Amino acid sequence: MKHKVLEVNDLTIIYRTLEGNVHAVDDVSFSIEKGESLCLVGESGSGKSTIALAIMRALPPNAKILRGEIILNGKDLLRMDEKEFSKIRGKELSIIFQDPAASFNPLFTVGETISDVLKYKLGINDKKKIKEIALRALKEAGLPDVERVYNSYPHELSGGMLQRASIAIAISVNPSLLIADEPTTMLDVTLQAQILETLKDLKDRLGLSILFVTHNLGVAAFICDKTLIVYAGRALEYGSTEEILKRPLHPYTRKLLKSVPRIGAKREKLPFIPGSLPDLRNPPRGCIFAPRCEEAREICFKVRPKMLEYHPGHYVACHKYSEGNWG
Amino acid sequence: MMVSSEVKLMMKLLIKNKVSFAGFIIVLTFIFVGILAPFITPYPADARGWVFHMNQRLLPPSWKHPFGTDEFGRDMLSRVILGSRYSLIISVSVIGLALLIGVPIGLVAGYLGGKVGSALMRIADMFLAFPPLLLAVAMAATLGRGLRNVIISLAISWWPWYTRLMYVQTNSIKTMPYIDAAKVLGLRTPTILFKHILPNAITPVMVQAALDMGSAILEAAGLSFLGVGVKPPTPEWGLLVTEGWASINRAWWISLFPGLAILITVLGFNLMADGLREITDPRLRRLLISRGGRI
Repeated sequence: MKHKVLEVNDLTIIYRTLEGNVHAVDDVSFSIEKGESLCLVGESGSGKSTIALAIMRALPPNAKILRGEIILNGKDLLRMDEKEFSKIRGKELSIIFQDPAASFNPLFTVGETISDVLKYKLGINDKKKIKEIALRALKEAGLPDVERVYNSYPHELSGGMLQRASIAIAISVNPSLLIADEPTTMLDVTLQAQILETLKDLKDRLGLSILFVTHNLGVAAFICDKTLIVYAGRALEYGSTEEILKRPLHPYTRKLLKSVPRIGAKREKLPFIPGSLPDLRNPPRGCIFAPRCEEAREICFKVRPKMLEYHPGHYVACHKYSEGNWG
Repeated sequence: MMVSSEVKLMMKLLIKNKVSFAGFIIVLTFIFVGILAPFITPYPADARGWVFHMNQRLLPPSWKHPFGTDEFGRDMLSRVILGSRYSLIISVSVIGLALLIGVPIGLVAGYLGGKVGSALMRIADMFLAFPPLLLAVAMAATLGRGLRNVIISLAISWWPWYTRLMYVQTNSIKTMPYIDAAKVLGLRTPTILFKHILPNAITPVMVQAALDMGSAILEAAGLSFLGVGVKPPTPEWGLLVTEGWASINRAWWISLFPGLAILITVLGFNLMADGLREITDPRLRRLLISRGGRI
């Protein structure tokens, strides 16, 4: 069996608000092996970013992790004290954010920012060596004229270049896991493709493990080996991306795939999923998707379906696929 | 290289705006005269004030005494010139002291937030509850007259304004991802505060400070005018205006020229600060650059 870089088991997170507890993430499990990429796909508010934040231990103060474990290279991140974790964060775990412009301090050059990371995270003090590593990382991230970028201030670079620079910083520490929280959402479409290409290339060449958070199935199809479909805080389907796209099992996934616009398709109204996300303060007792599901039967509203392995490596949480329950 | 081109651009923008450039020139002249004052007064002894010339009392402006003479026959031009030095000392030290107290408190309060932040800000609010000049008058009256006490009492009524400004700025900057990144790096809190947040937050405070330099001169003159400022015969501008007050019907020039000096200097600081605000505000600045320096 391959080495598991990240293992998330039964993760359950609530947000405590004045209007009651919001069940943001409910019983989610997945794992990432070395050199593998996994996409968390879901609509806004599905809890995908909450999962990513929980792994970085950067949840807002009103969030509470009720159950579960997050195991990185055999160590449970949730049972670690702050001091121990601070050695892991930014070194074994690095992250790329949505807005590259906000991730750089406008008063420092890109080079100064990378140097700080290398100095404090890897403990390198030799200036020449730092610059050498930094320039190499910038080149790896697909930036041209790295010497100029190294000496540039953030406002002198375009959004795409900055996002590449933040990828460079993220990979310069040789992380075991790279978390990418919608890294292409703020960029225009041509740049999105280029950045994804770069990340894919890095994954293949450096054997990088990536946790990708996105709402875009196209992105998942392009870069991810595995996909986890999350909806209203619960995992509905989990398996290899290819399997899920070719043979979607869960009614939600099927609907989702149908509502992706296709070039060359007949000009007609794009199908959508009627209804909206359930109220997560009082989640429905049965299947979370039942209220919007066309195929829902009585059992769906009463009993919560378990994640079952339908095909080898392809899991789904739907009564339709569990024998005995479905007439 | 990058910085110098930035400075060049700022100078260009400053020169383009005629009005704020005029303010800039006034301020430069004021600073220059203030520094050189003891060497360029026509009658240094008159300027310091410990002399009487009974034969030339209350002379109107003439070539010999362009600003006239006062009740003790002292040359007003010399006194106004030396007065600029006191105004310079007062404005620089009042604002400097207020920044020194106000900025770190606002920075810490904004960054820590919570109970400590609230406590610090409520202390600042207590000072803000009084009209600034009233507080300064009360302080100055308690401490007694003298240059040092004027500076202390003005600075004490001034720092909370910078605290407020800094507090708001810090609050918005501390949520930026690059500050989180600095925390993740394991940088110490003072490093984050002074190297990462302060330089990003200070610009509006500096513009406000430039504007306040003029107000500090005005308030110091106000204190002297009310009789709780510097001691005579110090040629402070506010005091000079008061000294001329009694004989304003016979000798208008004694109050007029120091008054004009106050007016022009304060105006200069205000015009300059207005221009500074325009070129440091990123949005206005874009507009300025694209329209060739004028809005």
